[in-house]
Amino acid sequence: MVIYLVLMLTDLQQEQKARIVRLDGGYGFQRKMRSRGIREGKNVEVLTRQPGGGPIVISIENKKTAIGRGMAGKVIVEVE
Amino acid sequence: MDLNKTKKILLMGNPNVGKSVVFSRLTGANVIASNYPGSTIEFTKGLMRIDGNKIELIDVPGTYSLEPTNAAEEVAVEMLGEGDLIINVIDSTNLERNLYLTLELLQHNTPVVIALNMWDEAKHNGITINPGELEKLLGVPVVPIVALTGEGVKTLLSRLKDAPIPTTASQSEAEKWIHIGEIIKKVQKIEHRHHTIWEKISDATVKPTTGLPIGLGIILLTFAFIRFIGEGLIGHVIEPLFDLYTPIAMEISRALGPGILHDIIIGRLIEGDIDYVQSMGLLTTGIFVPLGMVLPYILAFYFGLSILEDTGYLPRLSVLADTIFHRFGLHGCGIVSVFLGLGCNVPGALSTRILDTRKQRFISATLLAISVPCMAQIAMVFGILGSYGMEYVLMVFIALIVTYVSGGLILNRYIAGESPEIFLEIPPYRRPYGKALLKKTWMRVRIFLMEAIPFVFLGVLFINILYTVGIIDALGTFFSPVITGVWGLPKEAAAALLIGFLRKDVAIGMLLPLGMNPLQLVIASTVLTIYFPCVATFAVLVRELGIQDLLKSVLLMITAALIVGGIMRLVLLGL
Repeated sequence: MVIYLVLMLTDLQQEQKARIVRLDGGYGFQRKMRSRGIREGKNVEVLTRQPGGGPIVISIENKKTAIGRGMAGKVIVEVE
Repeated sequence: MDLNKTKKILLMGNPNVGKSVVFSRLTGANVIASNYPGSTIEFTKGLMRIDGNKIELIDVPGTYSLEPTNAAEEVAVEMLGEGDLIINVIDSTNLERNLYLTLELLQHNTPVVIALNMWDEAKHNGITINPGELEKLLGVPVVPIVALTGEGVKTLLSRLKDAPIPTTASQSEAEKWIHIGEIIKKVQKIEHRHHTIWEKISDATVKPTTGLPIGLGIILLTFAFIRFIGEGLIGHVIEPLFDLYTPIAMEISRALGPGILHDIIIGRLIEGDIDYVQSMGLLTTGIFVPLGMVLPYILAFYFGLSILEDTGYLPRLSVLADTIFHRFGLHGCGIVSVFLGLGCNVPGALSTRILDTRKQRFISATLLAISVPCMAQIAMVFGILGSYGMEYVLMVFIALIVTYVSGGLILNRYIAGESPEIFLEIPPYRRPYGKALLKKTWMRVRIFLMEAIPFVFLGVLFINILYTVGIIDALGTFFSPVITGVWGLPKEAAAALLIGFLRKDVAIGMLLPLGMNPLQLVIASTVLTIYFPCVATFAVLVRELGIQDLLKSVLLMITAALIVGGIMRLVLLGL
């Protein structure tokens, strides 16, 4: 049996991989995320976490995006 | 679509998909294209000819969707109603996400043609797209192109006439994504491939442990490069040329004889000779400052900047700088304005548009105007203070950096409004394309020459007139409580401050005859940066900030000049 852990994107460590399951935010937020490739069902890897509360750099299908912690906290992911 | 009736074609697409490169290809016009999202912040118009028809082509700023999230994207949406045809440029390496905007565009009653750009890069990355199948599914022409080399561009033009008015039914956001999923399944295949060396470099330059030292190294290297090239050009090219020119200028001087005409054209002779910095004549200082002292640095700076832009390094620098810039109420993208501003404050001020809120744009533009010197000014500071020793040049930079940082911290506290976080796509590294690099450098240098030389002439002319009527003396006496009392400078510096409105490079040159010591020159150079931007920048700020915010900004500039200049006086000169 595989157990899935549901976390926020901000909980992931560098080089950890996960799958996006939900976007917790208003319609505008969800839309903005999706139009830039951050969507439910996509596999995501954390490339770096900038120190001092700086942005997280993620990779989805080889496309890299820097995203602030506040926004990243609303991206809900699951890891095995 | 009947091309005889087509008057306006819009180039639309996500940010950083190469719209501006396509634009240059189609119109032959020169626009600045770079490898980072948001390098086009305003639409650019150009003319192209197809089968003898003159058609206007508009390069629209990139947008992810038709619901705009910043000022540059708003421009894109406003433009939409004006076009007769849309060329939707798509990044082939990123088809799925790009199709969202495509589906939105297809819901408007404007014919669409799709250009699958970066076709070579997609192939290289193991991505195969079937353009014929995509064309069938979307019902509009689809043409693979490589805009940088021009591959496929002719085919694209020949297909414009095939574009029908789209008949796609209105879809909700969720329906669009489902539709995209179905399309992708049918047209795209991705082969897995191993990480390339570029990707390893890419990772190393955004990871803080390796990225920060690399970033610092790159910035230092860039400035060392600028100085090396700038000084090299001055020593080996410019000075020998002016040595040849001097006898001609002296001949003119003799022919004119003394009088007001001599003062305006040649200026004052210093110990019987022309002094290119101090003489202040149109044919001496008027051409030496822009061509002899500033141009070499401008050339070197823009070449260096173009490399940083085209490789795709700047977005990585934005990520590394984000934590610090967030303290200033900005986010990492603010560093792009600083970099562009170091060349010239005008493009720097325009680029504040890529920031999301009014608060961010206000802080970014104000800090730029206060504490980012342009290359023309930096070149003069090097030229004049450098001869006393590099430590004096360093003092100016340290004072400006401290001003930027403390200004940012203060403004972030007291300016109302929101400071959204960074949300930035990081493009892959690309090898800069030699021809494009040189063309871009030349375009920017040409802008400098066209804007700088008339203003320098105007400045030189102005000084002569003002001196002759005696206004400078009166102004100096009037402002002496500030100039002498607060900053510890001779009251004649008023002339430089006045000319600084027109050109900061000439203004710094004007400090030389005042017989100041190096420390006073440090204070004067710093104050000249802070107190007010040049008119060209000011004009852009009026437009970008609006009158009310601009007045606030000007008040901050004057306050900053008084405080920083005053503190420097106390520290450097004592009471």
